[in-house]
Formats: sequence, structure tokens, C-alpha cells
Amino acid sequence: MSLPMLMMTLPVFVGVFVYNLRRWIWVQVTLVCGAMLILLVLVQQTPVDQLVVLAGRDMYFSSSWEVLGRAFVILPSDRHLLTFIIASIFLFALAAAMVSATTLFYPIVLSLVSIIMAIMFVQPFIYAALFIQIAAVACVFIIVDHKYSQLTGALRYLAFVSIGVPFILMAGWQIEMYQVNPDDNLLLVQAAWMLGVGLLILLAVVPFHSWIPIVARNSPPIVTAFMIGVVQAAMFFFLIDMLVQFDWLRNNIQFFLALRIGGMLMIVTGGVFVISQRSFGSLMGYSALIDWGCTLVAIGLRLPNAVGIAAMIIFTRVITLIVWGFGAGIILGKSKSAEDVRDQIRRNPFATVSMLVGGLSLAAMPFTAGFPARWALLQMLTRIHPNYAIVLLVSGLCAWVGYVRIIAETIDLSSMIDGEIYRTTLESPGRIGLSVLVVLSVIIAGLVPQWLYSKASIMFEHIAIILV
Amino acid sequence: MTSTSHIMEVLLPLWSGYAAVVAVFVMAPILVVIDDRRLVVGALAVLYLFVSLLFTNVLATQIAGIKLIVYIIVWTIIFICAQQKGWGYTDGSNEVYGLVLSAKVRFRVFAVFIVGIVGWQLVETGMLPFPVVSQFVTLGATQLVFQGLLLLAIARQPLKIGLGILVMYSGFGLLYSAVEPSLMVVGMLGLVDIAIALAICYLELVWKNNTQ
Repeated sequence: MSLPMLMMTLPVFVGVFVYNLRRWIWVQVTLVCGAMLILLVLVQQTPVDQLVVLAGRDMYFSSSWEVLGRAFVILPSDRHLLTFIIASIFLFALAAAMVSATTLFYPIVLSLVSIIMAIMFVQPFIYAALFIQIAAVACVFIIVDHKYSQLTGALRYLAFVSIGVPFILMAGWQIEMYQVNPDDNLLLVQAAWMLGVGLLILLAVVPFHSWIPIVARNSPPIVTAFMIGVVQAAMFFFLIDMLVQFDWLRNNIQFFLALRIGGMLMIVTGGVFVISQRSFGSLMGYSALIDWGCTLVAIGLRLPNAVGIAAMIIFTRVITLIVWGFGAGIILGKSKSAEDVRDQIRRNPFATVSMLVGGLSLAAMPFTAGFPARWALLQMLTRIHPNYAIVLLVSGLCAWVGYVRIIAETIDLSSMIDGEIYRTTLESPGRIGLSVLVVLSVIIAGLVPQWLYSKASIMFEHIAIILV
Repeated sequence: MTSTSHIMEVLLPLWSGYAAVVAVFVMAPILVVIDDRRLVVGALAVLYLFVSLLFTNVLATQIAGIKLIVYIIVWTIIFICAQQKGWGYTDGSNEVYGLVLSAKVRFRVFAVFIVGIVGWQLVETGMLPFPVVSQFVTLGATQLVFQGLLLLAIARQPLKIGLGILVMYSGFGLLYSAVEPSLMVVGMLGLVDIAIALAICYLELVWKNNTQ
């Protein structure tokens, strides 16, 4: 049996089943989480390309699956990335059950699991671009529905990905041509340009970033969190895959410079706009832009330690976004106006704390999960590129100021500090328990980041070794 | 059967040459300039027919036939979507006041003209990073890509933005099929087209509910 086939088809089958059960949210959640647990066991425990005895029967799990002359191959390095993706989706599925999400969230998320695996497994990997396009189309169905009917974010996202994908396909052709004519270096130069442009578009580098704040403002918070945390991470893993496969790309200094410049553009733009935002959604959107900029700068430094920091940023971003998505889903999910938001904040103090802690962690506030990696990056930049460090510091401060402004405008801090609001809240014990748990996890991860770093850095260990 | 294949042999070279490029030059600007859904859907049908004919220059006829089937499916989805939303102007505004064209239309005509010249010049100067199979196929494909991008940039309605993406992809497909004619890639690009059409149909229907 082929392991990639098993892993890619399982979520699709469960997805079809889940689609027909969309009226029963907890059945959907149970099925999604069950599927993720099975995938987690398959990723972690399945011995590949060797005969094993399973329940008294000989089983052979092959590492590849051939379809129409193209192969889907699972590599040892994929396992850590898949573990991260699957565990993230498990947590997102749990959090989404507690808050407002779009109708097709669970079936689409399951189909996205299959597509993300296809992106990671397909050989020649350049065909991953086509799967990226299909993933973008699938995302449209969760960004928008009859309740969340603002289309601009979904349309922009679809348009930008559609513009980016042809560049990667063209780059793939040029790489193939180079293999035929190894003396023609112009092909490699053109391929690097095409890959760079395509990837920067897919990674929402300025000016292709505008879908992020729009989606953050208009779509269900948990969906926004999922898009920024998991779907964009899959795009980033595609970049890492390319760097691992092509030594000429790894040795291309201009390509890494482009990544650094792209990252800095995101940081600057995020910093400029985050300070003037008047909604929690767009505040998070621009904070996420700064955070993604940091990831690109970290990878653009082309240092093994910086790669570990990039992994840590991606890892903590998912935790942070789950916390934010859970809290904001309760507060912003049903709110139509600023007064509604204030009312929801008064009624749901625990969810409010969850939203604020998640948002502040994304803005790298000290004592939260987002801070250690940002601090490590800042220290590294201070040594190598002091100008970048200053820009990053100012941009981070802008995000904090943005949060301070919006907290002052919308939240009655005296009643929150007083404590009475927590005793009289009508929030369910389940929500309160989960709020406390997720907030504590973010703070603990911020205070003791070493454990998290050791887990996160494994994800990009393969590229860190090559860069050494 | 023999007579059918004979007719195909005679007609295909006739219609898949410059006639198809002319059709692209006429239909793509209609998609950009006009907002009347009846004209847009009709123009898309004609455009797809001639793009399928252009594909016979870069792909085997049978595989070009697959593209035609994909385009028929895409067009059917778009047709059903337009029918659900209602025919007429996409934003409810009359485009022509007597014989005076609105500023929007004049701007679009100007933009189509400029973009058309840019695409033509790219082919003429040989700046495209693709092997040129034949001058007219490349010219048609470049026009499709550029007019699609223009539509993507200036449209606000989901249907027209979606058409922009689809037109752009049809042009890119023409260029890319010349370098990668494998069945897997053609099939995947077809799947992408159908998926985009479905997503656009979904967005258009959500937009309809929203505006009502």
C-alpha cells in the first residue's frame, strides 16, 4: 500500500462524509479530529518501504504513489512538517467548534489537508503550484458564506494566487530546460527571478498583501487565523522545499536578498498601518503581516540559527492565532458594529482576555509566546543588519501602540481589573476553561520557550544542516 | 467517420490560424469593456471555442478536445451562474446614454487598446521567456493573458474578476502547453479552470444574496 495515497485520500473521504453532516457540529469536529489523529499516527509511526506485520498480516507501506507519470513521494523531512500541519488543524478544529465559523469550514479544511500533502509530496515539485491554486480556490469557500458575505478579501486572495502560480510553473519549465542545457546560465537566472516573483506573491509580500487585513476584518476570525497560520505556512514550506532541492537557489545571494527585502517591506507596511486600525480584526491582520515579514527576514539571513528562529515564529504564530481566533470568534463573530463589540466584551470577559493575549502575542509582547522568537531575531539583526533591527523594533512598537489605542477605546479596563465582571459573566464553563487554558499556554510558552524551540527547530532541521 | 475526419483536416487549419487570433482580439476586449451579461457570456463562448482551436496548434487534436470539453464545462457553470443572478448589466448601470459612451467605457476602451499594444510589442520584440511555437499562437496567448490581467485589475464584480482569471489562464495555458504538453498538466490546468469557475459562481451567488 502507498502511504502518500492513504494519507491524501483519507481526509477527502472523511470530508465528503463531514459535508453531509454539517448540521451536527460536534459530529463534524469528532470526525475531523479523529481523522487528524489517524494521520498523526500514520505520519509518526508508519515504517516506510519495509515489510511489517500488522494485525497478523504482512503489510508494506511504500513511500511513493505514481499517477499519470507524476509521483507523490513522502520524504523523511516531510514528517515533521506534516506533524505540525496536522496538529495545527486538530487544534483549529477544536477551537472552531466553540465559535462562529463558515458553513463549509470542516469539509474544506479536510480537503485542504489533502491538497497541502499533495503540495509537499508531488515530484517534480514544481507541479505543486497547480495544487496551490486549487488550495486557494478551496479557501474561497471558507472565507465567505451567506453570513460573512464581504467578497473583497476572497476575490483578492484568489486573484493574487492566480497571478503568482504561472510564474512558478514557468520557472519549473526553465529548470527543466537547464537540466537539458547545463551551460546556459541565463535559464537559471530567469528561473530564480520567476520563482522569486511567484513566491513573493504567494507569501503575500507587499503589494500583494492587501487580502490579509481585508479577510481579517470581514471573515470569521477562526478562518482568518487558519488562513494566516496554516495555509500560508504551507506556502512557506513550499519555499523551504525548493531551497532544499536546488543548490543553485540556495547559493543565490540575490534570492535571499529578495526575501529579506520582501520581509522588510511587510514589516514596514504592517508597522505604518497597524497603528491607525480601529478594529481588532485589521489590527491582527497587520500584526500578522509584521510577523510574516519577520519569518521572511529570518530565512533571508541564510543562517542555520535564523532558520530555527523562522520555525519558532511559525510555530508560535499558530498557537497565538488559535488563541486569538477562539477569543475573537466569540467577540467579533456576532458583532456588526463597534457598539456590538463593546457589548460582547462586557458579556464575555474571558474570551476578551483570550483575544487580547492572542493579539498581543502576535505583536510580540513580552511574556507571551510570540516574544522569544522576535527577540532572538532582533538580537541577530542587531549584529548583522542594525538598520533592519531598528525598523523591526519601531514596527513592533507601532503594533503595541495600536493595541493600546484600541483597548483604551473599546474596553472598560477598570471593570476588568476590578474582577466583578468575571464573577457575573454568563460564559459557559467550557468556554471559560478553554479560555484560561489557552491563555496560560501562551504565557507559559512565552516564559519557557526552550521546550517549544526544540520542537519547532526540528521542522527546518534539514535545511539548517544544508546551510551549515 | 472518414468524411468527418476529412472535414476536420480541412477546417481545423483554416479556423485555428489567424481567424482564431482575430476572434481573440475581438472577444477579449468585449469581456473587458462590456458589462451586459448576455454579451459577456456569449463572448466567452466564442472566445473559448477559438482558444480551443488555437490549442490544436500546440497540442494533439485529442488533447485539445479535452480542453474544449473543459471549456464547455466552465462556460456551462458561468452560464448557470449568470442565469441565477439575472441577465442584464452587472452593476445595474446603463452603459450607453443615447450615442454617448460613459466615462467608464471610454477608459476601458483606452486601457484595452494600450494593453493590446503592450502584448503585441512583447511578442514582436521576442521578450517572452517561452519558445515561440508560431507567431500567431503566441500573439493570441499574450493578448489573452494581458486582457485577462486588465479585467482582473479593473473589474469589481465577482463574475468579471473570475472571467479575468479564466481568460488569463487560457492564455497562459496556450503558452505553457507548448513547453509542457503532458496529459497530467493539461488535466490539472483543466481542473483548475473548473475549480475557479465553481468558486466564482459561489461568490457571485453570495454577492447576489448580499445585494438583495
